[in-house]
Amino acid sequence: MKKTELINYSNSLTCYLLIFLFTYTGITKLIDHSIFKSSILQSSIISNYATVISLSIPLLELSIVVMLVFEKYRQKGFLFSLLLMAAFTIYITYMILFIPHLPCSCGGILKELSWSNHLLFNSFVILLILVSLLSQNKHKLFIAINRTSRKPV
Amino acid sequence: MKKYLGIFVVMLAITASAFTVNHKDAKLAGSSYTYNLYGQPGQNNSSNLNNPANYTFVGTSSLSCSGSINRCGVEDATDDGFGHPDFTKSYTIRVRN
Repeated sequence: MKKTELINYSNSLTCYLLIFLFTYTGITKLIDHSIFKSSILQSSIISNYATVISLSIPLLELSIVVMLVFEKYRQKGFLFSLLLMAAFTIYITYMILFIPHLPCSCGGILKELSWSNHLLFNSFVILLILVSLLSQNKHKLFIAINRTSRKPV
Repeated sequence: MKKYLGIFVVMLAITASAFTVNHKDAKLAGSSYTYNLYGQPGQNNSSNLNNPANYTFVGTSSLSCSGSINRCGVEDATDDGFGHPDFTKSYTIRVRN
């Protein structure tokens, strides 16, 4: 298998993983909205914005899914995924470090994870997104050089 | 074919969420709440004791109380969706140890 094929294959896998993850957690948060909102209310730093956050996060997750499904917007989907996962990770880190009682704001089976495991899981997903984004940019640069140089590949 | 794989994954995730979400019964059962008026005037008034707004969620672990022999919180309660105990469901009253 060529290197480019391998990169494309790995990017597609990351994309489908993100589609599954965000659809699953987004839908779960909407179905169990009262529980999600209640767990945000128990979080001292964001409880004042519980209604806005409890609606905007699942909607944002589902918007990212739409971007990832259509190839035209996939790059933007990866970028927004990175931003959202980074925000979740910063929040989880803050909660682990400074809050003694930790309510779970996650969706579905992910709430079975401990906060430390959640942090590990998020870090792993962020790493996958970063690899995909960097490899896509590298690939674009390679094409651009060959186009401007007008040399046969 | 590859074009529709993303949509297939979306359908798969929706199906997975439908099977793994426990709707109404999963309302943070087993939660503990401290009684905000513990040690305060009016702490034993039944209107105060039965007002969910007077309770604060502290997690799912057992409460540890000190001080006078009065209600300091409730355990094994179900959340009402707003961070307070749902007194229409079962719960355990906690007083000083």
